Amino acid sequence: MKKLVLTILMLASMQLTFAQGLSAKEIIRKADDKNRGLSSQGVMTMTVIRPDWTRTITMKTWSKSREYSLVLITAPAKDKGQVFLKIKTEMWNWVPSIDKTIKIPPSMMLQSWMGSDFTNDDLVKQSSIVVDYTHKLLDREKVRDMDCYKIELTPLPDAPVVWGKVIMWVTVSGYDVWMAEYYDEDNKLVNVSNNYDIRRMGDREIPTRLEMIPVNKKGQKTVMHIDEMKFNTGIDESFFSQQNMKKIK
Amino acid sequence: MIFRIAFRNIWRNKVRSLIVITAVTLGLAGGLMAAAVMTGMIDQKVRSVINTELSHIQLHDPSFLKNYEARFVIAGPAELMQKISGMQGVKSVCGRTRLTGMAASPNSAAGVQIMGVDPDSEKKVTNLYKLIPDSSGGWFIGSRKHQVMIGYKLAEKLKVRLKSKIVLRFQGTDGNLNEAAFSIGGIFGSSNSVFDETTVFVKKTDLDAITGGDSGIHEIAVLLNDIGSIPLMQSRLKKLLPATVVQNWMEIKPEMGLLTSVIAVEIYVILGIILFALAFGIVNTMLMIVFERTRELGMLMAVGMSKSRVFRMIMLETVFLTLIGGVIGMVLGAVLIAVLHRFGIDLSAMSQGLAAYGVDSKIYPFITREFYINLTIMILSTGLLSAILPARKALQLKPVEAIRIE
Amino acid sequence: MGDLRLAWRNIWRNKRRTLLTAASIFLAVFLALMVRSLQMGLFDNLIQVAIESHTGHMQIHKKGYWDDKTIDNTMLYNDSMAGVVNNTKNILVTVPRLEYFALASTGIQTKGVMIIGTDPLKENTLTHLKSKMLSGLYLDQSGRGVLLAQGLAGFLGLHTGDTLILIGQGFHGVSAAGKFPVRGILHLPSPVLDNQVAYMNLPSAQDFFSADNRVTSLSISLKNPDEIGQTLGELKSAVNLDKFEVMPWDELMVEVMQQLKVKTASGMIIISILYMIVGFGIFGTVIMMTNERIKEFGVIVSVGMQKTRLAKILVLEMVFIGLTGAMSGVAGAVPIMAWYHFNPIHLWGSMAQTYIAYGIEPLLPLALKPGFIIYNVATVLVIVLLTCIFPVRRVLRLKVAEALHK
Repeated sequence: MKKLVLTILMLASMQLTFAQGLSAKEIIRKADDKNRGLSSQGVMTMTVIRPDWTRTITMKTWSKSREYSLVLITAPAKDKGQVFLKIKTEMWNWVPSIDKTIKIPPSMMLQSWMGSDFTNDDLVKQSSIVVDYTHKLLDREKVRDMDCYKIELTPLPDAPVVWGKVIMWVTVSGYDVWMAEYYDEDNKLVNVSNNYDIRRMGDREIPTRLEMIPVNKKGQKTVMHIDEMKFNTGIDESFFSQQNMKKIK
Repeated sequence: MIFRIAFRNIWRNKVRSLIVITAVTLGLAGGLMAAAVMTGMIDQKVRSVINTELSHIQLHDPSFLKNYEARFVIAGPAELMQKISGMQGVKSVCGRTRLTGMAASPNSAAGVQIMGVDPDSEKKVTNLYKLIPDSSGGWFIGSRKHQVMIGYKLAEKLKVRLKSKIVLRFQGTDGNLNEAAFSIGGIFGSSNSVFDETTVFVKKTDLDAITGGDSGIHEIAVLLNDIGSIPLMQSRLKKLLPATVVQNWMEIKPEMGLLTSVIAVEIYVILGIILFALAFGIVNTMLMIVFERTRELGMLMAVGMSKSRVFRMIMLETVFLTLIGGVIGMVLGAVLIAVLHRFGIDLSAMSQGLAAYGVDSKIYPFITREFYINLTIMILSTGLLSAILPARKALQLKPVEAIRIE
Repeated sequence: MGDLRLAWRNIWRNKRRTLLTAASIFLAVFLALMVRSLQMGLFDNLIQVAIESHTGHMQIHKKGYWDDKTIDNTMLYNDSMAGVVNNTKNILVTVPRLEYFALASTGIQTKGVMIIGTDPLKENTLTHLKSKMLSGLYLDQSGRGVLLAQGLAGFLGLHTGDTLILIGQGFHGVSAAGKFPVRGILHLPSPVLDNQVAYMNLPSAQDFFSADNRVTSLSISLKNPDEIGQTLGELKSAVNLDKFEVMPWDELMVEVMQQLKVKTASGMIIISILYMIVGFGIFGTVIMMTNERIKEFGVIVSVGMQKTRLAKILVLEMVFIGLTGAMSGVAGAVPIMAWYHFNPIHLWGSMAQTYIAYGIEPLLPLALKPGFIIYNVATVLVIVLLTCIFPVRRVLRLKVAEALHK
């Protein structure tokens, strides 16, 4: 009798898994991989919105796996020509107006990047949504007309992550992160990110508008818009170098 | 003979004598109290800085002090600390890893100095562990991994509390960036809010595990048995380690020096004034007494007592009175100081209400034996010297006039 | 009134007695004033040191700046704000500053630098910045030259004539980058600041941080610091408190304030001890004087004067003596206080060195304010009146027969 119940339960749970096709962790991994590809190259616009001002920055970006990325600022005028290079956990900044490359020290890392709601550190973060969390599939929900997996991410005890928990909605059809909520340890919502406008970029379809909203700061958010993006263009690691920072256009 | 006369004279007019005795007693006790309060004040300031933050002496690599870069560690720290703790006059030694980094919470982030310590040695050198109220955890108690001690000011800034998780990001000794989550095991409050806002403590062993190597020791703190031995110990350590920077707490925090030297000057000035008040008072009182006794003194001189004897008699009387007053004053002063030292004078009635996080607004007056003796001698001499003028005045009385005065 | 004249004549009948009693009162007033003057002088001096080192008596910022000192929390310094400040009479100088962090780059290293953009002339009026120069030229109004603190210059390996490269983040996230010629080197007393600070004129800083017409603070120095409360109120009503905050120095320098409060409290203890000593001096003199005159009182009462009237006359006598003593005390103390107020005491030894290190002249002016003068004179007079209780009681209980036989 016991054996029968157990078998039924096992089959039932397997059904659930098979119905999704993938575990929560796998879903997150797919979303994460899709976001980065092995390498990518593109043009993006970032708009920083504050209660009394707004700022728009355009940039060209190159990246390889999670370890290498290069960003060239193309507008506005005062920032044009600056290049940011990230190799693993270190970051450099080339400032053409004074002909100087500086390595960004830890003290600057948590300053906001270009005035946005992202910090320098967000961009070099070692923490990974795949590796540093345990994942639990909560539900399937429709968010803004998209059918999504609702997954709860709980940081591992030693993981260098400030959040108490993160809830992510990943689209069923495309494995895109559609929305994410970031909570502190008291379960209070601190940040929300919303992604919109799925379009074809290169060899895949991805959301092209990403908004990061700090919940407790009124009238404040940062919007990233992907203008162009190509994936797996085969960039070599040597591309990401300090010498190249000065040459890139 | 004169002695007996003088002694009996004192008791003939009890009121007069009592007044002089009381004046001396108050002067001496008052002077001792004033000195004790002011000494206690300096002591309180200095003590909290030394015991909580700086210790008596600190050692660093010279390059480290320029920009606090993690690569400038002290060579051979273990043997060094062993050697120093064996030195005469050293109470305890501890070593710390000191890294600059950031502490982040969901709501905020702040730049901090991360101190990697050995919790037990640290307890022997600083009293920070005592400044954690019971409701705010404790100094690395329990076996939880990755505990961090932060100041209450920082906890406020990051909007976290006991057991909250924060992420520390820092550049290790090897130059690489590291980060890890820590849980708040204790929240401390010292009398220095800047210290509370910018310093966090973790176990050195945790840091080593995160960076995958020995983080090294950047700072060695030395607590001595006696604060007075600082110059001696400092020069000894400098000779022992010519390549290391050996600093005492005043060199590390010169602004403390300003306040304490100001108070030191004040002590001498105030004591000078008290001595002056005492001298004046005794002269005044004794003059009154002498004039009051015009008739008596005149009689004595008329029946043949020499002027020098009269002089000596009055001086002796003053000596006795001063000594009696002095002894009582010494005892009274010592008792009062001891009592106040035990219970402390709470100044928080006069300063703003301060949070549960102990800012020490209590003064514990005390006086060194040396000071006590010196002060007593000074005050007694003052008393005696002040008797000279009235005694001389006594000699100027003319016997004939004296008898005639009603 | 007959009694008044009687009292007055009585006093001068026995000049010696009167003078001795008046002398004890003179002493009380004189010493009390001198000690308070010294204490307050020291107190004000310490505040002055703290204020002149950077902050000023009060500051105006954008609301919220003090808790979150970022470049985005700057305020516009335009004509309307300048107008408000100019119309406030007690303001001596207003120093507009733009202060924020940036990175200095040297070869491979980067070091955090605190940039202080300020008005050169006004800054010097407030903090005497020019006197801290070690080499090179002081800031000018329109160039781009910077002054480096000695420790910072040493670390970066820069001298007068070299170039400082700065990178950072400016207003609203705009990147900040620039090269600045090093115009001079100066020394700041606080080691922390000496390793971190660079001064430039305000326009250069505003240009670097892309913060046109913006400042982080207006630091205000007052002509008459005693009116700080009034001026604070004036400013608070003149600016829009929803947009700006006006903070006095004790809110800006909480740590210094805490230390000063402790000092005030102990100062009060000291002065109480002094009063005890001199108060007793007065008391003693009055007792002796009363006892001396018992026979005289007996005679007066026996020939018909009512005891109450006699008591009244005695009180009047004491009032006269008290006033005489007090006036002379004031007359003695005020010139000395005034002299050392306008010609401050030159400090010496380690105290002087510490002042100099802070860039403040080692001078100590004695305080000279009618307020505390009146307060202390009044206290002494109250003590005198209290001592009158003794003679009054003596008289009222007088047994004429006993008195006449003394």
